[in-house]
Amino acid sequence: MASGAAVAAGAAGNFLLSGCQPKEDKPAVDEKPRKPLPAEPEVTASKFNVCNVCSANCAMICDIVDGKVWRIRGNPDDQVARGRLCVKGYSSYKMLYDPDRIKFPMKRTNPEKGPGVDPGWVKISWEEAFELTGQKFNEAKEKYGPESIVFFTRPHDFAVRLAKAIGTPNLVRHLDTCYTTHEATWRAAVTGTGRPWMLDIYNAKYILSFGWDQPAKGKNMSAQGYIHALNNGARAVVFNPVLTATAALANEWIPIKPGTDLAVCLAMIRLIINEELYDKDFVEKYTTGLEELKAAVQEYTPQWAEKISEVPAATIERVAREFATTKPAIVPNHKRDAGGPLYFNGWRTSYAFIILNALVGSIDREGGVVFQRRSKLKPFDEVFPPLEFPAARKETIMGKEKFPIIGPTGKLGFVTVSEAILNEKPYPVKAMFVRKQNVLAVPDAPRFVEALKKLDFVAVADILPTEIVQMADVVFPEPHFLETSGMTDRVYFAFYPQIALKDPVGDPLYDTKGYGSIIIGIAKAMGLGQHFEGVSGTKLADEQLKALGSSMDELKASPNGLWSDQKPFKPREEFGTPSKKIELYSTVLKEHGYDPVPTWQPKRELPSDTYPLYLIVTRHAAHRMSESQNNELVMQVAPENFATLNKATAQQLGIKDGDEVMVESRVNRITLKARLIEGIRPDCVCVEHGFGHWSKDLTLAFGVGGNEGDLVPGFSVEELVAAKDPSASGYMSDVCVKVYKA
Amino acid sequence: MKYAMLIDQTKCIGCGACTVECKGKYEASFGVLRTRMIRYESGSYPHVKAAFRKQACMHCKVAACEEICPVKAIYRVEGENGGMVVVDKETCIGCGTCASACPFGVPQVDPGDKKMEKCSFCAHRVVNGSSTYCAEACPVGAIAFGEREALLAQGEERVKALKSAGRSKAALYGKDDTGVLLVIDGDPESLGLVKEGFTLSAAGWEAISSYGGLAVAAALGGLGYRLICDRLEEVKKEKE
Repeated sequence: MASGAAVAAGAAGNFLLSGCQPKEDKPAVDEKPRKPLPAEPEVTASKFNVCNVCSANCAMICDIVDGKVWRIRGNPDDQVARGRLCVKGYSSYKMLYDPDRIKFPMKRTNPEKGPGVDPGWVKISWEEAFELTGQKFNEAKEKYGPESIVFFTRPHDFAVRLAKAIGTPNLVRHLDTCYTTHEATWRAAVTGTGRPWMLDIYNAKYILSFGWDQPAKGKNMSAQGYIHALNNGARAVVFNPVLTATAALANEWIPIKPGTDLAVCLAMIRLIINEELYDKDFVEKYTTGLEELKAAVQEYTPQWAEKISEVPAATIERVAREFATTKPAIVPNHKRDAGGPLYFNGWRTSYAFIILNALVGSIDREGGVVFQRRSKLKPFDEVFPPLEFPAARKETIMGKEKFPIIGPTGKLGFVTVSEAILNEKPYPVKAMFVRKQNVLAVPDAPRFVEALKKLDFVAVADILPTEIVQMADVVFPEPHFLETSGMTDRVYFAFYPQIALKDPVGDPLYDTKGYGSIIIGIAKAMGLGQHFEGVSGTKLADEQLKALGSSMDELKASPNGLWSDQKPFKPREEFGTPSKKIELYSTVLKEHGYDPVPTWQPKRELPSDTYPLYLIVTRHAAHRMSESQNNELVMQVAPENFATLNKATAQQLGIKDGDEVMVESRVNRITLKARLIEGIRPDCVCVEHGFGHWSKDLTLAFGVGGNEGDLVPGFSVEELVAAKDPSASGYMSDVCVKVYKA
Repeated sequence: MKYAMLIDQTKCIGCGACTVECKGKYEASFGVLRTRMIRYESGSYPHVKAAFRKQACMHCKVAACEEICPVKAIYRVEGENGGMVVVDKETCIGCGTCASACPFGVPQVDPGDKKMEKCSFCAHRVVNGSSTYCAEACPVGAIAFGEREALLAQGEERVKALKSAGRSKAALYGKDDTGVLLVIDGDPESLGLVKEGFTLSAAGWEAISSYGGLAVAAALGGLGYRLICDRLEEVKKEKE
């Protein structure tokens, strides 16, 4: 048959195309037998590990072929992974084999720093790297005080101890660009500690999303839960200026005006209380402040909310009634959802989410927002009791001491770090230790580059030569997470305590050291080795497991790589507030001078003649922040980021699909390709985060797309204090821009 | 085909897990993907719907690519568990005729080895009774792998459920035509799919062939034809 087609094609050649000669001598059609299909590669070993791409830490099974990771699967017995991974987890092994990885310790020889500047790397020994870092840190400490050394890291036990041993109070953290709005309000109104991480979407029957978009971002447990719930007949309503996958799969997409979710929430709270649709049993037993809340929200009628949000009053009323009368119902939220945690009114919106969940009895109940049942891991300081630390200054560059609610958690600093360094407020910063954070993650990244230039010395521990590595004086190469061992607790979905084993997939590929060893190396070089006598990550894990009645050996022998304590779920009856109840009128917020109920406040930047569009930021499911743009698998799925505009808006601006455009805010501008769709509000432009890398050592990532964080202004601590925001949030979403052809 | 895949586009979140899992398992040049993810929209703001489609070989009952391949490089895997449409890379001349004939726009010529690249239905696994990589990877269970009869029933069941939930346009796509079945919510066109009944029967292809090249050329357009000629010339030169 196919030969017929070929012959026919030949005949048509004569007939139609004079340039193509008849193929009398064309190859005869191959009649030899087909080669057998290739065999499935033989898996020689399967290793348990834990995904470290995001904090969900899904338990993995890594299949090894010819000494290399061939495939990664989700561990079926893990509560988070449930046998599957997300696109990021599946592709994570490509970073392990990334030829651009940092392969040995290095120091720069070119004192000039910045984008486009060749650092003049030279390979050095580990001893030299530690000595140089120890010497520079000690110089800064002696000349300017220990507080002039800043840790720009996540709070790893070892790093925290080193900071304390040095005597610096400055551990700059990124959470004010992330979820402090949730943290501060949960802490004040419900827990007295942190926020919950677990959303029991699986069992929800009504999902009311204010920009919650984890399924579209590919978050494993959220995506699985969402689709499971929808299949089970749950109803989902999504308020989002952009028609994302979460919105597209929902029963209803409501393109709300950005930053006005609070208005809709307030109108819903009012209606649910006034019509007495709330869960009376739950509210009576487990909450306080209903009367005060009721009085405070009376002005927020659905008609009022319609004017602000452009959501019809009738829709607000209907959805509120559906939400309150379908059980279990949930207002899910994770971190940087479009619903508003990072608007000027974001903390109020977060508080309104808590209240809505409380009114329908969905706090720590199945189908609601649940406190993860974590393993009670023995703290680092109990396993390795500390020596006495020098007294550190109270004043921090993050202004921790000025924020009574979020300050004690230490979860802040990114928003204000550039101004603190550049203005030397409250004192000069001279040296910095960085781990797994990048320049692109800081608001107004170009300004942060200027701040970094001002420092005398920067040491960075990382895997890939990112932008912050380009600003470093000394670089410590770390192993990829698949090369590391240990164990990790389940957090993002844990109805019962469960711990997952990390077993390396093979020997380290390069001359790397684990983070703990790097910290200890620096400590010793600084003459602070005594604080780490006998301390090791292996011993910590083993001691922690022993305290739970297990051990590292037992975990290694576990047939599924997991330790589980399958206790039945017992809903919480008491909460961590002064009243031991969920406070719908927060006495803690009031005590510290903040509004005790989430009253209305508009977002900070509104469209103007100069900057007429709202900037919306999202993330592609395949990308993890600014860490994945050099991953060859990920970059084939999502090779660049776009300025996504409504077709009508683009037409007005004379922009065509694929055109290069400028997106400009009051602080910076970036160049992107335009992508035109219908599923976005005409007054918005949406940009995916993670792109705009300028490190030439990142072969795939370099020069692709733009960093929308450049458009976001940073703040000084004073400005944040003046905002009267208990979360010290960075308003990363609260930006207006203009878009024009490049 | 004994086995099929049932891809439920009403569950697909468009994340690309299938894409990366597949890409990591089969060698091809950067950017040449055996399965891609495409976002489709219908309507205009604010009355817009969006859906994702996993775009990959549908393993048609009568496959245009197989029928039209001038060198018979595209064939069906034999055996009880066979029936999937695959490419014999040694025979393929990379002319791209299949790409211009495919109603789903699936085949691509890899610029690296100049051979056609497309989904093989993980034939080497499926003949041994294993599932496909993408079905095993999909985090939300939007890709089911199994015996065709069972999946047809499962698909119909799902469509019934969707319809009773008020989604009147839910349909099972590919019942008569393709080895891959799709649950869709809306017209096929809303997902960039051709209307069902698109495939010519084998007899139809015979008829076209008997009419000679004119009809084939008309079916392909001049460009597709030019591709065959050019590539045959090149292959001849390479062999010399």
